[in-house]
Amino acid sequence: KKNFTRSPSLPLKHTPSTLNHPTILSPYMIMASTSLPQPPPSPSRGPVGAEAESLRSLVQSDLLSSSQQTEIALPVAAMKVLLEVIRRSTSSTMMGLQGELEEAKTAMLDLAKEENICGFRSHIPLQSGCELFMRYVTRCYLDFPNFTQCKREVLLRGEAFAGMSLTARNKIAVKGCEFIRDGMTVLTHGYSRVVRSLLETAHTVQKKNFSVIVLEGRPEGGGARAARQYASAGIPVTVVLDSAMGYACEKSDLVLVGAEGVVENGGVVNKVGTYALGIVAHALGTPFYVAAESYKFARLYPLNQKDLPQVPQTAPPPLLDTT
Amino acid sequence: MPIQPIFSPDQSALRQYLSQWPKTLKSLDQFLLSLRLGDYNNPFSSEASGNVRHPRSPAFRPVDSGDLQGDGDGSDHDNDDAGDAAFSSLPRTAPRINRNTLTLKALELIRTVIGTTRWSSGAELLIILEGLGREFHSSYGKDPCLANIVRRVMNLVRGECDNVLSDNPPVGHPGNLTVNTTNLPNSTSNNAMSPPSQPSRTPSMTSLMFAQSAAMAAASQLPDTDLMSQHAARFRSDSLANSDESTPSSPPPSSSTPNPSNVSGVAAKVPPQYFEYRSDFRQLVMEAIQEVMDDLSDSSKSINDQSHLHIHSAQTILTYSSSKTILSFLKNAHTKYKRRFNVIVAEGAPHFGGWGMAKALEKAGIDATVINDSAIAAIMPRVDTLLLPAHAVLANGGVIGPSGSHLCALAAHENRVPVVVVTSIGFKLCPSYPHYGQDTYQDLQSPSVLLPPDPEAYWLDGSKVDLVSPVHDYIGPELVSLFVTNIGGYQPSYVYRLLVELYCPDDPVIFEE
Repeated sequence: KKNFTRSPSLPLKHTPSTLNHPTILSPYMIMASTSLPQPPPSPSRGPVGAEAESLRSLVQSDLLSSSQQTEIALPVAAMKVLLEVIRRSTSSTMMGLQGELEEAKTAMLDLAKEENICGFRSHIPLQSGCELFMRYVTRCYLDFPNFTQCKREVLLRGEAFAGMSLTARNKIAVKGCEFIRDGMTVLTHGYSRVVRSLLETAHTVQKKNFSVIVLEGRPEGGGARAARQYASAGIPVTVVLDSAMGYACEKSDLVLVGAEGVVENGGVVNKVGTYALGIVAHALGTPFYVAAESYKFARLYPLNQKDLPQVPQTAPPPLLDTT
Repeated sequence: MPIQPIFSPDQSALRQYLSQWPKTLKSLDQFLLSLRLGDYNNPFSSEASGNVRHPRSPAFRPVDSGDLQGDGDGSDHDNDDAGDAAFSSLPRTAPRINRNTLTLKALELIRTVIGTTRWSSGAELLIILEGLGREFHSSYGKDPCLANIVRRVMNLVRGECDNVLSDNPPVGHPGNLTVNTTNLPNSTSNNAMSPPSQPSRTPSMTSLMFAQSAAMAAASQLPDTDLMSQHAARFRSDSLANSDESTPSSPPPSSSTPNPSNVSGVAAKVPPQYFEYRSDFRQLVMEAIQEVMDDLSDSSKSINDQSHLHIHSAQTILTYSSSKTILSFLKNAHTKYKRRFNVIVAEGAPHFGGWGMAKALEKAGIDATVINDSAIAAIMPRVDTLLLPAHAVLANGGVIGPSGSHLCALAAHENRVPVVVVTSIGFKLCPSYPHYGQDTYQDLQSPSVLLPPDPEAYWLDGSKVDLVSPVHDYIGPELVSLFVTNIGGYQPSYVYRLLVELYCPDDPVIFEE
């Protein structure tokens, strides 16, 4: 089955109704057109066009509001938007549904880039989260004789996937706590909610005694922000300069970072400075652990540092307030 | 009298449930008692009056190779002692358990329990198994083999629960694009020597997602069909109920039968169809367990069949102390494949099993040389391969081996010598990580093994000298080049796939309350 998402990405203005046009002769369209009533040709252009607009507004409101909440990860919010797209979908074929999801994904990505929702983090998890969601929910197509049953299953799978992604952070925390033993010093970089959840669970729930060293994470000072959180949770924390990573790594028993994305060869995309930290940890023989949810696994194979998809920056990043 | 079902895997609940079948409860108790009393240890264990095993002791005699007979892969440490009555004068200084036999006995016990008790659904069976796992853990928790085998049976049960549902494809489907039903005939994922390329039916979505993400780069279609079958199964049972297909009849749900709301433990998180009754389920589970037992019994043959791939003529092979698995591996290469190689055996203090190993090798016609443990690093440049046994294989690809094997692995790494770990994977693969470094699954044996031979040891009385003798070593995955197992040869980086095949991530890693 040719993967729909691999085809050239549709421009945003492309009207979805042409996806249902019977002249597209893929075998699935033939199957769909023989077993189902023909989709209404031109009158659908109106409501579907309006659908695209309402989609954009939905995307804007949901995604923007979720980005204000700091607890839900942006890709999980995006999955909820996609779920909503499925619920509201008026399409009667799988290809139509896939097209709508693809449009929604593109809309969200564009919005994220324009409005800088990701906050100078990468948009890779948003993209990979949406793609994985779409691949997972639309894979049940072959099992069902008609689209209504299929759509019910799609919705169920979507809810299951979104639910799993939401609880991913907790599961990582529970599993990852076992790697932290009493008396350890953990080195971390930047502010990762997964790492924070892990360390706070280890401290509060499992009552382990450990201390944390945080690299301050210039320019926006995520590490310093994280340190404030750890301190208020009661974990002994030290903030050091980014350039002190060699010195700090020598004092640490393990290094724990989050990830923006996990790429195909097992590498990790993360805040700038993580690469250097990895080299230092390798040189000193310190175990280097990455805590990442499964929806961050991206179809990328970067060959060097420049090979990552870059987001054009619309404004200079905020500097860490050192007062 | 109606059978009372079981709702919770607590030990008290399990015992109360099993008391309905007194003979089964009695056999469980007997097994646990013999575990605790050390019946599975070698009969001549522990008390040592001076270490007569020391090569410099006048009473020293290398043990006869009679002890090293039989197929390997039970205990892989210190096979160097008397199962043989002729050597009853030699006191053993460390307990030795034949873990293969122990695991087979545990499986027989599990089979008895499953066979005699009148459980009615897959979920209830999972509760019973989890309870058994907890019992085993309380009696013999330091060795992961029993927990592994219980986990394996639990995964088989889960697989059967999922598979039976995907048996009936929906009717009236356009074309023949149904779910992959070829999972069913190979109902276990452990056919000897078959490469586990087909992911087994793991019900947990996270594990499927894990396998799916891992397989994404390979663009394999197999995980997709498993995903499909699992989720479509839910709808299929609905659509089957609407059509005239035969549906499994289930007893009406009541508060007295286990259902998702009144069970605890692992069964609280399984899909609801696990609570249905199916008449053929018992037979399927028994067959699956029998396959596991056959797999365990045949493991050494499968390992030996690969010996020609890794041992070639005119090679020098280094091995540490004694191991039945390695011995039969080497003997097989020598006799069946006619390879002519020579073996260097490190004597393996404090048990000095290397002497017995050398004697057994010599009897088989293989050239053997015995060296001190301290000479391992010096001899390593002359060595072509290092063969090591394993007590356990961890989830990251690391190995728990006999104490001293880490030295060999480090020296081999330094000299670019390949390190090949020869082991059966049936009950040794653990889903846990080395959270405690060298202390993972570690045990300390009686320091009497370290004592010099009588009467030189007397000065230690009342002195402050401490004697520590760990049993195991942890070898990290970066030091291991290859695992030769009964299901094929794998790199340490592949071990996580074997884990997904054998176990379900929802099952507990340690069977504790």
